[in-house]
Amino acid sequence: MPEHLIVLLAREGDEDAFADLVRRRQSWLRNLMRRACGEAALADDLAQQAFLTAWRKLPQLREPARFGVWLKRLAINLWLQELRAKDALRDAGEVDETMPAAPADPTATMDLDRALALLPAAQRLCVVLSYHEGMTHPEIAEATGLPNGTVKSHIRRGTARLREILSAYREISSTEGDR
Amino acid sequence: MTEDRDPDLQALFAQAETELDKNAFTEKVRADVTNARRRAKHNGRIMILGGLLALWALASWLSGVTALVARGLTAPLMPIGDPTIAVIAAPLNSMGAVLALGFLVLWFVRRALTR
Repeated sequence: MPEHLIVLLAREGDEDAFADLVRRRQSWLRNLMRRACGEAALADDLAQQAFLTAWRKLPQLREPARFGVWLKRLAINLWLQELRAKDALRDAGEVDETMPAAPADPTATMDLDRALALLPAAQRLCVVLSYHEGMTHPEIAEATGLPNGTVKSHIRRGTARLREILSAYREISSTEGDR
Repeated sequence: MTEDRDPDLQALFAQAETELDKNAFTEKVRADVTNARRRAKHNGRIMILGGLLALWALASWLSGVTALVARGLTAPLMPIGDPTIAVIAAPLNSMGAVLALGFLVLWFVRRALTR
């Protein structure tokens, strides 16, 4: 059944239809949130909250065909709220980290998620929305509330940093492979 | 406008997409939805009960206010000597008619502005 029809059923309060939507969209949303947050448990919590918010606000969704975009927006907003809360704690001196820590063991396997985790949160979010979601700069600016220029610079710097981290990892891997 | 995406990174993102276990997660969300629905029902019942109790407690005060408002809305704006003409003109010659006309005008203005 096409997704927009399932959305219409869920909007009328059909829990089975909503569960079907969750089954269809959960992997995509959780992967997106994992890339954006860098923490699997937090990403799953945020995805769960996003689905619950979607259930509550579903009657407000005017275009059922845009369910995916709308759900993504809800999830991004939740992540931005989480970031603001973290910033507030940091300002209060309760969190002392300003940048994600580098991995303890540089030779350990570093996949994309680990490389992403080394980027600052806002930069990571912009990079993920651009590469994972294929969103344009104005779309990202609209979704995150960041100015277009900031989005561009986050993506440019984030991409350069990711390439740097990944090529360093490849060098380490090939050196180890030669031994 | 070009988005200038790095093709290597783009390929890496595409490769890194993994299918996650859906059943446990879906069940969690489903439980959340059921709980939210139950909570909403419970809160709705409490609000209805609270509303009924408030109505019961404020019944005499409310009936006084209602009578006062009704009298104010139906009070004639201009005194008309002939009782028959006064009854015929009553729907227009009252505070209620002025208020209704005001709301109607506001509604048309709002519709014209938001169209």
